[in-house]
Parts: sequence; C-alpha cells; structure tokens
Amino acid sequence: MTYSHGAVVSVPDPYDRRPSRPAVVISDEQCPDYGRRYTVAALTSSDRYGDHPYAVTIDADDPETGELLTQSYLEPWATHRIAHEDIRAMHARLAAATMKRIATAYAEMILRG
Amino acid sequence: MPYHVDELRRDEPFPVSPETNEHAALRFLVANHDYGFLPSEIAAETEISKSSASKTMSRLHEKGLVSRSQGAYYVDPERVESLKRRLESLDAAVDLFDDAPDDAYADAGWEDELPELDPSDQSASGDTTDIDAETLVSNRVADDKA
Repeated sequence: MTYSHGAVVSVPDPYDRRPSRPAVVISDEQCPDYGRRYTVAALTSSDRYGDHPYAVTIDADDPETGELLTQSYLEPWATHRIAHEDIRAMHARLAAATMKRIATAYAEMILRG
Repeated sequence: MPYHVDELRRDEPFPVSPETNEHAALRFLVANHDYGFLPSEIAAETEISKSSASKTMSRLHEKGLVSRSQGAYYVDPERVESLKRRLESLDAAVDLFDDAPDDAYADAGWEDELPELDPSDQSASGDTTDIDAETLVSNRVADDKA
C-alpha cells in the first residue's frame, strides 16, 4: 500500500502534543524510495500564508476524491520527506488540474527566483 | 488478545520521541553503525549522562531497536537504512509542526470531520500532464495578461 501522488494525508505530531498536520504527496513512483517515504508539501488554512504569491489556493470541495476541512493553501516552500509509517491517514486526492496549479507555483518559485 | 482495528489499519508510531536520551543514543548508533558501544562510551559521545546511559540503552533494546552483545550496543546492519529513514522522517515531521501556523487544522479532531480514504484504491483520473516547467509558467503569465 502506497500513498499516491496528489494524496492529502495527515502527519501526526512526533511529540504527540498537537493534532496532526495535513500535507500533499508530491513525489511519485519515479522518485527513489517511493512507498517507503514521500516528499510532501504542507497545507494550511491560514490566510497569512495564503496571501503569499506562491501559495496555491485549494477549495474544500476541489479534490477529485474526498474533501478538505476548509479552503486551504499549499505551501510550495514547505516540503518535507516523511516516512510511510509516519503518515496517519489519507483524506482526499487532488485532481490532475490541481496538481498542475501546484506545479506552476513551484515552477514560478524556481524560475523567477 | 485481538488487536484493535485501528492498530491493524495504522502503522505503529515510531517508539522514540525527539529530544530524548533514547533518540540521541539511537541517532548516535545509526551514525556509527559499523561499531558497537558500551553505555559509558555512548554517554561520552552524546549529551546523555553516564548515570542514565545504561537505562536508556536497556529501553532501546527492549523496544527491539538496537542489538546487544557482550554489553555493547549496536544497530543490526540490516536495519540501518530503515532506522535512518525513520529518524530523518522524525526530524522532518518536527520541522513540519514547527512551521505550522495556528489555523483550522490546529483544532483537535479535524481528521474525524473528513472522510478517510483507502490509499490502495487508485481511482486516479489518469490525466497526467506531460508539460515542462517553463511552459507552465509562460502559460500562467499569458493567462494573467488575458
């Protein structure tokens, strides 16, 4: 069982003090170690981050399958490599069109810098 | 005794918390996986006190994370890669939480308000986009101007 590219997952707090955080799997089977660990980008609902030009707005009902808690923003600048075992659950899957918007944000961030 | 269904469905959390003696000792042994160390030697090389080193190592051994031979502790060579990956993931998760703003996802129980999907149900659209990054950006700029 692997978490697919575009999966919205929850990552538990290693200190077990706070609720888990949502993130989007942006790596795929062509990445080394896929299935054992994933590159994920953080999600937030905070407008403070959402106002940033590279943030990608994702409406609660935007996912192809499942849904988000509320309108959320993907933070392209906040990527992490998380082991499969450290992912708690999968809550939604983003559509190819949304992944393309995310890819555009990354491309802008990298190419315009 | 049967396992609770949650334990069957979810992977066990890593049994070592960040910023603990166990974490420091395991990190040290993984980084120096070609050698075995006595608790006193581990204490000398980490910030673990001499008085707590033996207890720390016993706990790691009981949890099945390290091996012991003639009083020395070491990481099973076959487990070095997986333990390294878990330790790196632990650091990454700490960073993810350190960066996290106070938002709707900081409220306890948000996961329960959402459906939980089966990751093995791969009902993806299959609509993969094979397009280079520069084209993405130039398309976006064109869209913005339109």
